[in-house]
Amino acid sequence: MDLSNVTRYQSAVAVEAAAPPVVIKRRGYLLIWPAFLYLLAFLIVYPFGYNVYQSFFEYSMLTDTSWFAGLKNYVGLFTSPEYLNSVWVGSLIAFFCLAIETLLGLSIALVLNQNFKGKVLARILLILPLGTIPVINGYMFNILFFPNASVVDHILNILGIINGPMNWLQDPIKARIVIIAMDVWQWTSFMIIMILAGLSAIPESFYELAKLDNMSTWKTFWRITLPKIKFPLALAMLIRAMDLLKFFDGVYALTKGGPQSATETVSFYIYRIGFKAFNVGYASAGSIIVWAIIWVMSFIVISKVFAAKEKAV
Amino acid sequence: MKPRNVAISAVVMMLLLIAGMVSAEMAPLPRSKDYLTPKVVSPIILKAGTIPDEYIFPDDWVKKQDWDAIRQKYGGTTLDIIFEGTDIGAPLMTKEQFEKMSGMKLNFTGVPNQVQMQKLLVSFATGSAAFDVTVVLTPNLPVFIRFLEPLDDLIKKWGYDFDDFFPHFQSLMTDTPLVPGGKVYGLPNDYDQHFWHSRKQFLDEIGAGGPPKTFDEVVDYSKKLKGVLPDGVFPTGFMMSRDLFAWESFWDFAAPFGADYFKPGTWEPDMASAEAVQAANFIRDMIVDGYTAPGSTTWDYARQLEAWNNGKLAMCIQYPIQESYNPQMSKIADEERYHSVMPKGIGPKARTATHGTFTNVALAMNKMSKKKDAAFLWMAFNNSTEVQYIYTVTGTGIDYGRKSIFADKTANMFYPNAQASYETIPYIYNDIQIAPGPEIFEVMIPAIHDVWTGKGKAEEILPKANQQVHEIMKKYGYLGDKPPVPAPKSFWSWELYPEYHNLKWADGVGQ
Amino acid sequence: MQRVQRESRAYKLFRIVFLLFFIAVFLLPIWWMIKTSIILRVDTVVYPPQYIPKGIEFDGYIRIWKDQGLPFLYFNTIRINILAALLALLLGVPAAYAASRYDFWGKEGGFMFTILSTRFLPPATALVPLYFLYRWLGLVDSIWGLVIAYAGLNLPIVVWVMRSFIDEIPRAMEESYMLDGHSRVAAFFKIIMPLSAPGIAAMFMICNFLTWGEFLLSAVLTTTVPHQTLPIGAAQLEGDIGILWQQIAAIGVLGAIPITLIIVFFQRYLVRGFSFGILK
Repeated sequence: MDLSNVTRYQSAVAVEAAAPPVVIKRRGYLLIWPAFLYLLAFLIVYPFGYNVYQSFFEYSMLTDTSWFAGLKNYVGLFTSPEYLNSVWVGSLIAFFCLAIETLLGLSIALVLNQNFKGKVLARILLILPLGTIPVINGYMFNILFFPNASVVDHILNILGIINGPMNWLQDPIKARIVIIAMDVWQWTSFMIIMILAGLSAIPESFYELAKLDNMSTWKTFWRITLPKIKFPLALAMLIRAMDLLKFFDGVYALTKGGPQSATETVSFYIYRIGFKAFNVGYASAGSIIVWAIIWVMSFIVISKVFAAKEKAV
Repeated sequence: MKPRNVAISAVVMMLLLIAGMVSAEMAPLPRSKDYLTPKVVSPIILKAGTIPDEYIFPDDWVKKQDWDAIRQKYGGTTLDIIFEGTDIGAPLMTKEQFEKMSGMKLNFTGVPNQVQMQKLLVSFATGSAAFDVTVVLTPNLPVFIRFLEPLDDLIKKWGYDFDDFFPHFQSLMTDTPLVPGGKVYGLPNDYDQHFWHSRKQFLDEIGAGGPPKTFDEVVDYSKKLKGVLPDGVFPTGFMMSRDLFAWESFWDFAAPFGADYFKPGTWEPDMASAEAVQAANFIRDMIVDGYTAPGSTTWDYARQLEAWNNGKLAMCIQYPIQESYNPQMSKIADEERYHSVMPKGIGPKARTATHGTFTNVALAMNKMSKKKDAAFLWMAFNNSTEVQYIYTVTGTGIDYGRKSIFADKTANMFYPNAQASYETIPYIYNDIQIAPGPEIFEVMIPAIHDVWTGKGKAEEILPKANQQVHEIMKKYGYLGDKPPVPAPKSFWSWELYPEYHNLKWADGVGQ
Repeated sequence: MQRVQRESRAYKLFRIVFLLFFIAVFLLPIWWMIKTSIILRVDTVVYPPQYIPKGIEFDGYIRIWKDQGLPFLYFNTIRINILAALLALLLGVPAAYAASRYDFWGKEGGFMFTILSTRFLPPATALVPLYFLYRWLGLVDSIWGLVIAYAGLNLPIVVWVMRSFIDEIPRAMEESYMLDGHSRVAAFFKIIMPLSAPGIAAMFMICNFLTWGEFLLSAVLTTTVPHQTLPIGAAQLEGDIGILWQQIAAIGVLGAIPITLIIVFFQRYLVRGFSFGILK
């Protein structure tokens, strides 16, 4: 790639502050429209519109019958213990996954950012889970947690942490732990990569200053490290949060929502109603509600994050 | 022998040699001896006897057709066929031979069984189903009938021996299951039923002379077994994962206890009757008492089979599982086992009633297919006597449901489940099989599973679920004057087919 | 922080234990996958588990090659993912440029947020309408159907990440370039593109890795083997004869290789991309 132009005009950066921002409205539309139209056509108008439309009908694909329902589906959902349970379970699992992934990712990334022998190897090994295929991971976790033949049980028994089988998937709390563990296993690596990127962008001079100031490690982290990685961290968390609220893979592979409906996330519930019972209208209303919840949450988070970013950069 | 046939057998023979099979001469039409080789069939099964050199079923439908004429007329036709997951191994086995016999070309597509129903329904409903033949699970058949071709005329035209299947198995293929007079929409392909399997060595250890005959005995055996079983082996294990297996297993208990889906002769749901509640609590108690392997509530068919094959269970409810005699798949392949009819229930309405399982598979034809005769020929071939027999014995998971096979002594030798399979026939408690079925399942399954895993009492959870089922039945008009499908007078084969009452393996057709 | 603190011996030990623990945890399922693909079928689920297989066979690999159409599945997965990533970039980079450089009515709340919000819809509910749409467009059971769907899944991420990436390129550079009499289009190609090339490369890989293992859309939108992807090939291996662990794991091992290679060898690119352009 020809970079000569780039180097030539790099000197211009110095006068950036003086230059007024260029605003040409029409061209802006021109460039953003293709992407927007594409999504409009393939994801918004059709799938989203279809869902909004169907949510006002009692449409069953099984018998190909449809009745106008008005708001009946929505009212039904808000009074349905199963749906409310699934929203609660979904949020709970998403919250714990996100919290653990972030904390774990942060601590591993902080360690990986230090200088020591074997650092590159450690970094590579720790991001390997990211390369695997979720469906197949489901099967592997099936073996690892196979009732009465669980590899995890065996290891914990050897280490003396537990005695006898754990029966992971029999108990609501333990089943949730397994589901969360599966997601944490695959996605902590993502957090590590994101945070490492932020960490390596912090100039060394910052730390030298901190050293001169005799700042404690803890203080350095809060005052220098965290503010600097705030933006990539927030975006990584946002990307994860959006996917986690649609959490499906682990539930499907391991518990199918049981035991005691303790792992039935909202995404799995919608799948069950819309795609197994083929009660399309009801499922559509369910997903519109989920969509609205994520929409509002993301809107708040994003406006906060970007406000913070404007200040930071 | 016609020269062309000689050429065919020569080619097939060469292919067989390349594949490392030892075969003297491949017959022009499917012959058990050509397929039941030690490479595919477990040696434990083959020990039972010698496979005859000639066709085991010389008079089956395939042998009566003029394949030369068929080849002339339909040669060159390409058929697109949808099959489920690994089951595709069965038709692939005979694919080459059929292509040679008929001159047609077969295009198979495997669909993961997790999304099979979804995929079929979505592609049919959007009008983009481009295949000629597909497998359909019988309980889902009513959903698909509007997209399927009725087969009565084709059956007549080609003289297919549809009558050879057991009558209720035939009835499941119609649009009015269990009510006489419906049109046929599928050919029976896989006749899986549930049986009670027990390992002889453990039953001997507790001094039991044979498999349990009632659920009282099941509890009694389990109690005794708990004392003698080695660590990590459990008295029983069931398929109770939170999907259709929970539904199946529930009725494997509820039906014998005397519960019914609906009030007799109507579509008024009755799934929270005293017997249903009793059955749900019975299973819950077995779990609490540790008579059931922990893990049962997460096991579907394949995962429970894994536990059984690894020797973790002393008794279980399973399909015929011919493959657990395969030393490559199973740690207990050469162990002696009992395969028996499901135990009788407990209580005043106790009866023997095995849930007619979900995996009864129909082979059905797309209404939009432009190659109906050719498609029918393959369907008939695939579901013909000797071919079905081959699929069963080689452990592809497809099981025969033909009278003529059960009537053949040689044939039954290589199928350890034959007797149990035959003796279960009068007692089968058939699945609901109406179009809103899947919606009912999604109400009942979580409810049943919640009871089993201890979320609440069956007395509270089941009536709520039953009320929801009532709403569903009302919504679809089943509770009005003119239900879309007439209600059968019973779902229990014993009441529907009195002619079954005298089936006896010992002095009947089987011996 | 390594520059700040003098590391005590205890800390060094702690670090080794900490990292070894997590490496062990992270590698256990991966090792299990590799092991399952070669262990004897009958030993797959035994207790106590065999951490090192006692007997091995390569039946799984042979069978997926011969019976499952592995070359097809592999080729398809690669082809579909690359095309989808390219399509997403083709549409997404200009959009990101517009979002970064122009100000227009409804940019943040209207366009940008709507674009992002398409990622919120649970995929199961998008399937039926997508199927109707695809039928109308003749895209059912073709690789293009999946390409379009995957590009749609990735587009929000591409637009958002590339936008922050382009935000980091000083405006003054292209402006002074334009003051030299060049057009904005030329500035885009001569200044923006070279400078955001690492970002684009990274996004390309991120796209591939986000859709590589996608299951539901692929399972329903494709029918025949020549159009199917690896996850579908794996999910088909469960049925009446049980679960073919060996073959599933073999697909898992082979399927993980390309993305793993990307992650290992292009880590720097990935990190740059993931850092949303903050890192220059």
